Amino acid sequence: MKCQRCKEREANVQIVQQISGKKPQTFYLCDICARELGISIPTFPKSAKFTPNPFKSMSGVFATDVGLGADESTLAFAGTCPNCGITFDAFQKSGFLGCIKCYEAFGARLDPVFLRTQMGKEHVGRKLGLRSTHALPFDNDDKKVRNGKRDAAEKPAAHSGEFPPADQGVSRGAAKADNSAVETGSVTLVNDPIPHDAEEIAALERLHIEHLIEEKRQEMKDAIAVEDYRKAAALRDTIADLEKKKEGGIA
Amino acid sequence: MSWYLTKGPEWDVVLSSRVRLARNLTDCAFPYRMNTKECSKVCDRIVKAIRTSEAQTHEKYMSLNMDTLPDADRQALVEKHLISDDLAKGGTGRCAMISQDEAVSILVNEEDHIRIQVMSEGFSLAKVYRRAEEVAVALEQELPIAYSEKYGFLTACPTNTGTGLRVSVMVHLPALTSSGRIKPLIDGLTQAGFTVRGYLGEHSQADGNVFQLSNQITLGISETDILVGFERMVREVMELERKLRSEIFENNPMKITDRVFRSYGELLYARMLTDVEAMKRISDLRLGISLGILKEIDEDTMAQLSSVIGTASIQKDSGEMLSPRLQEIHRAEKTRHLLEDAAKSDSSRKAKEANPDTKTSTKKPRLPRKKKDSGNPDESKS
Repeated sequence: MKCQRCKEREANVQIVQQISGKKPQTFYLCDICARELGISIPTFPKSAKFTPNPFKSMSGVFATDVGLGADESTLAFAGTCPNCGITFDAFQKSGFLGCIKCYEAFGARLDPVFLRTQMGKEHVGRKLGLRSTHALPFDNDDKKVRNGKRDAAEKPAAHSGEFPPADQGVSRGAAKADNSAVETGSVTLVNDPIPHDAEEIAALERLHIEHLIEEKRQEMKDAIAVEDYRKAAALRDTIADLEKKKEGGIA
Repeated sequence: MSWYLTKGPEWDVVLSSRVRLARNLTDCAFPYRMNTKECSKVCDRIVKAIRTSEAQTHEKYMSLNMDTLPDADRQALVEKHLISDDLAKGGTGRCAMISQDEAVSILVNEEDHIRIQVMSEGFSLAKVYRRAEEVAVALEQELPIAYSEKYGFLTACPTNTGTGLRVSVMVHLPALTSSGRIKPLIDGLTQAGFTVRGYLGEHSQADGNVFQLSNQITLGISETDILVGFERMVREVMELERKLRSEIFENNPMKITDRVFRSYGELLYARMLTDVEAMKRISDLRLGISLGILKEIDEDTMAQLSSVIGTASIQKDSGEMLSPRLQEIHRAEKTRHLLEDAAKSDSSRKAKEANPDTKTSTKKPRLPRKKKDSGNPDESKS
């Protein structure tokens, strides 16, 4: 089943939304859309529960220690690089490897770290000593990217969609990318596919904003409690903006 | 002329663009695991290779040895972002090769054996990336560079492995900061795989509303995708900031105008200035210039001013170690002269040209101001 929001990627997150007095609603989303809707936020309101939770590994990639590689630190055996003598423990403490042979020596245990902190465990970029054949879409012409539509070609690239979209947090909704691709040279570049027509998705986004407002209100109370009125005033404005956004919808 | 003395594309938000490529040699341990003797040896090898590459890349470098370079000079280079703080403090066996236009700097034996860094004014990622790649390819052909088919370019810290590419921009975000939206934005960007830092990189404060944005991911993604994703993110931040700026201005034009001219007055007449204060006032002036409020000076002047008011630059300029008090006096003097000269050359240019200055004008309607004030700021304040 396809994700109800982007209608492109496979849905792997099921969300049951229960609002008092209403029939429970079920959404099927892909992990990327789910993350964009803020569902990975640990303090998501109790009114919306989500089961199962296979995307924790995705959403936590940058922020938490819950992930595909979470158990690499608990592996019991001690590893040592035969070339430089650095131990895996020492690497974990400092974050630095000793020499390039460490990559071979610790390979099996580095992969989970890469899966958690990077976008994979394999290099897909330029090869040693070769010039990159990729043409940059904004070479000499910045407008090309700014108006992605102009060069649109309906051919989404396989892995570009995985790149975390930047319009998260407050910036969400401010600048939506359109569902188009820019083909230049040998690579295809895709702007984020974020169609946002479905009513239920809008409801979900509203819920996310409500949650944000709730959070900000609490922060404001805390700020007032410690007499930090400047912060409180800023939060008040943020809340007002969010309220406006909520009423106006995320169109 | 050095790149940081002028404004570049999208100058109202993006002050500068930077690309950094990390590379290592196959046949020795990473720099922090080498003793000073080994470091010096590696340093010599790399410097030699860079010299050989000069013909191919058409760059010409000056070599700066961290061991022999005076402290003030090293700190001045850090302030201009030409070298990193780590390299400046690294000691024996560390050096920097800096191109004549100060756009390319190659740091030897910092965290990695080689770090190629290219910078440019304004927002021009493609330009800086191309230049960095040119240098990298030349060195990859010259030296045994650590590369694995699986992991790509190998680095001391696995957070750089793969492309070894770190892209960053310095952005000026006064509206996002003053409206309190910067924190959630930073949280959002962090979650999306970007890093946000203060002006001088790691662990530094965002004085003067200047932030450094950079990518986090280097493995499992191609250089092009990193650049495109980053470009898109910066454009979104840029639009957000611009929208907020005009909103704030339209809500209360006199408040912003007042703030801008107060800051202008302060920089023109202050006799003592701390660096933090100077950066705050520069931020106001930049905002004023981008909104078309302040026309006596332009962003070029701001770029020049920011490059000379750092503590180390002030020390270097005076040629001696100054007490904090003397630094402040020196900084105020330097600022005053630079602004006075800029305003003078602006008014003389205006007198020559029949048309009004088009360089700094924006689409925004100009504020009605008395003719007497324009071009003669000395009379506008008591």
